[in-house]
Amino acid sequence: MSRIRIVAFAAVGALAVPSVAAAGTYPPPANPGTPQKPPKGPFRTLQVCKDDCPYKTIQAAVNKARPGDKVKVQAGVYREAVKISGASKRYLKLVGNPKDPSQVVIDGARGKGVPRQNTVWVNGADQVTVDGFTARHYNGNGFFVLNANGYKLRHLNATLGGVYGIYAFNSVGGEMSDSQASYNNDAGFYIGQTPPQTTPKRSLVTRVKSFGNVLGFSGTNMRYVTITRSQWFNNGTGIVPNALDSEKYAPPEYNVITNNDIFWNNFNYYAGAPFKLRTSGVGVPYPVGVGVLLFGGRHNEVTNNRVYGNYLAGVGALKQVLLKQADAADLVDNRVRDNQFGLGGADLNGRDLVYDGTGTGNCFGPNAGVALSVPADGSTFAPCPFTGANAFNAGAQAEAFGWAGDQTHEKFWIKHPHAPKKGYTPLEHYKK
Amino acid sequence: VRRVLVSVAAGAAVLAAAPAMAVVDGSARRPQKRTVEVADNFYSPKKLTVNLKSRITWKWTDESADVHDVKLVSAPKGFKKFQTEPGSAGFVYSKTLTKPGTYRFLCTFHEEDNMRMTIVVRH
Repeated sequence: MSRIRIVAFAAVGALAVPSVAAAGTYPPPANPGTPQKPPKGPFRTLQVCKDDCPYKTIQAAVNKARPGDKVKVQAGVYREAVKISGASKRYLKLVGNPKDPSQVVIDGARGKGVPRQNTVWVNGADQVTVDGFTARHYNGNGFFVLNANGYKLRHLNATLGGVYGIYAFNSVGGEMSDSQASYNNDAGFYIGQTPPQTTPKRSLVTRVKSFGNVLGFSGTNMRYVTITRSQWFNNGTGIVPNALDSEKYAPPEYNVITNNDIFWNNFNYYAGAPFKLRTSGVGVPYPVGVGVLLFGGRHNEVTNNRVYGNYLAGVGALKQVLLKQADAADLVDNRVRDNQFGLGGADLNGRDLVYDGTGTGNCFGPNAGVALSVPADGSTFAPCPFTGANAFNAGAQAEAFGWAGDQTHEKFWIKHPHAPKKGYTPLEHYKK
Repeated sequence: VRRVLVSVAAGAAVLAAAPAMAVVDGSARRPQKRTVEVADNFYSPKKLTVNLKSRITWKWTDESADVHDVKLVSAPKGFKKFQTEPGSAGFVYSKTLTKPGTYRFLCTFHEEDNMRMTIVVRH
């Protein structure tokens, strides 16, 4: 979720009292429930195409599919919304063209009417694979998995959407790979509300590209997720693991963000965007121009990434100061190390590191290329490894939250020239 | 549910005109049409009292930036529970409430934010 419900940033200074995190108390790991049994087969392949196929729509084939069956969709533009729901659809394989997802399009547009909500929605069906599709013009989400034990979202392209591009909520043990999300009104990729698990099943996000979104990746209360070998660029903000009261299981924890390219996240969508910007009226957006922002969280690692050309900050870490669940608000045992900032001086961030010094056990470095940070004296950046209380800095916190209140969204940018990158164009202001 | 028959004569007249309608405070209780806004992260109104067989329409507001649903978690006996598709700005869902009693709804995405509402259906 991109919008943080903080109305009074001016009051943050008064609220900012560093505290030691207490042990978390979680709801039992009962949701999404016991994993469904693998089907035994025999399995069938149901063919979908516009002409001369048993099924003319994807949904018609899905409705007839038994657990573990494959639904093979031939090239074309399908104007429908596909629901894959319940245990009777577990282990289903919905396959378009993995080599060229642009050939199999699911279009949510409905003329002048409100577009379809979710172009592919998996709900309560474990281990479903969706592979080789493009989704566009959806009002809600492009590819959406809800309440599932295991999922595979591969070779997908989600573009021009109302909320999220590729999205998993209240699910465990998934994969998002070799995919792309662009121009979504919230996050291109989003994993939210991961139930705590005694024996965690990790989720993997790898070899993806996310650009032109409000957020490249959002992770509200997500856990056990590894984000790697991916590119996050030209979004408003790149990657944001965040703690929110609005969803269960705060805070985000045990996530690893490693070996990514995180650059040019300076897309000021307020000044124009290819999607209709929705504002809830109660929220304040994350600041534009940030590569990675840990907004609350425990045991997260940001390591071995290349972070450059983000005008506000490369990597930030802030206490979630208004989280009602006080024991989940602090930053605890997060590590930011072995990252390369500023592309060797060729494409500098406005600021490389920002940390308010809240919480315990958080450490920074060694990192390469750090030129300017907040606080400027570096007093909050304990080198790794580190245990004990961090050194709170009220001025750094106030400065960082002040950025979010900037109505221009660019006032605090420190702009540097970008190094040319073949095949990529910086996006700050969208033009039709 | 409180019913007041103002007078035998008036009641008889109303019942004669519309025998299927109940009478309250001297007026007939007709099915109504009511709209509930679905927004980030609340329903508005949060509480609603309507007549039997009223039709409720949930409308996701244009400002609804996030995804929400409407799940009926408790209902009068005999009324089938339902849950809408997750939706965002512009989505609309309607349902007629055909049993008297109390209906409680929540958003499964924002239950933690107390995104809930109650509808009481009168006889």
